[in-house]
Amino acid sequence: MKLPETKKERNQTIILIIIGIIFIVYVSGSYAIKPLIKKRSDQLNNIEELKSNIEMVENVIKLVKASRQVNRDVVAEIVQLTETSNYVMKARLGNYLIGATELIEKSAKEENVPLESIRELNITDITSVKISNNPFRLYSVKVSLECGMHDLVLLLKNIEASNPYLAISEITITGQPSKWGQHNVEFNVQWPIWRDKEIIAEIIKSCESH
Amino acid sequence: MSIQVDLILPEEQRNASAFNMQALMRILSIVGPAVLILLIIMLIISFMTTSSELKNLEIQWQTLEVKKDKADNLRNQISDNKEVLSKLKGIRNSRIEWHKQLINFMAATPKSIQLNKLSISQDLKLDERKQSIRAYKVSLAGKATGNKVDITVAGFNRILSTSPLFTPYIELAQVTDYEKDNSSDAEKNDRVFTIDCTYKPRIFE
Repeated sequence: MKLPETKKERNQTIILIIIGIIFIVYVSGSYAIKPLIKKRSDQLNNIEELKSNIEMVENVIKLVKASRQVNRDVVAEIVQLTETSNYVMKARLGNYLIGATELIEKSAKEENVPLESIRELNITDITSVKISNNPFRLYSVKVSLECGMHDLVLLLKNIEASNPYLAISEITITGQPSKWGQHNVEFNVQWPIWRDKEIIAEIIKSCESH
Repeated sequence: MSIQVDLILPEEQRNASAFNMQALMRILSIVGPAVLILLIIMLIISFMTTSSELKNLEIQWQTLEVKKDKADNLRNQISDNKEVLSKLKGIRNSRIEWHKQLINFMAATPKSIQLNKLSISQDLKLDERKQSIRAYKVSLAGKATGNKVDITVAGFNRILSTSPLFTPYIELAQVTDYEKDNSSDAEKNDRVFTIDCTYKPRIFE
């Protein structure tokens, strides 16, 4: 392209060319380059965020092996206490009284203390803010007998030692003036039971599925 | 005589100055757009590289997200199982071995007191901090004989309140009934009494 001959026209042409270049640069910058730069900037931010999340998750995943062992240990302890040691009373065909009677009669026989009766009392919840959150309830029986204090202490000691999770919840000892040394005794024995017998199956399953 | 002949016309003469506007404009008209195009190409390449990296990371994240969900499930399961174990141990830790308490009552009862009724009751409830507790009350009823009956009964109450046998367990012991024994075989100074003991709450934890 040949510039005009006259200086004035030449200068005008140059100015127009410069303006044209500036316009092209501005348009391409606004409508092509600027959005591209913004999009790239957003992508870089996303990349940083993803890298951070990936690092965090990889750290969590590294701990899974150790967590599995922790879960196995916890489940093993629960099974040991509830199934193996039978500290949580199990129903036999829906009946808890059979098992409770056997345990108490065993202790009474070992201490040579005769019992008058064992009768079922109730199943109660452990009072809490949200009762359904507690996987356990309490099953109680009432034991009646006539014995001296010494025999009663031995019997209670035997029952309490047989299961650290049961509780003697109520005791009434009434002296009998006509029978020196022999008192009317009633006491309640309370065992933990599962709120839902499926809970232990689910706990064991949680160990196997992970 | 010298004659100067200009064989080159003025418009054909080269510009002797260092700065030639025309040449500069020619250069700029070529170099300028070339540089601009080069910058745009570099930007596009950079953008494509970033897009590719982002895509790879998104694929990696999708894979990890599945593993993360499994890890989260495991963590939740551990928490639930620990809660079950904690609740069970709370049942054990909240109980009182009453055979030991009975031994202590028998040891602490003065010789001039004959207990004729002992009752222990349990209440399952929440304390002021909304914790599940076993609240026990013990009532000891009996007969005191001898000369210094008042002192004997008060002394028994004091033992229940202050003896190391009972202070870990008993919050409050107080005489709630004290009166003359009106039974037919009672001596003049004989008294009947009731001492009620409130036990410290046993928390299920």
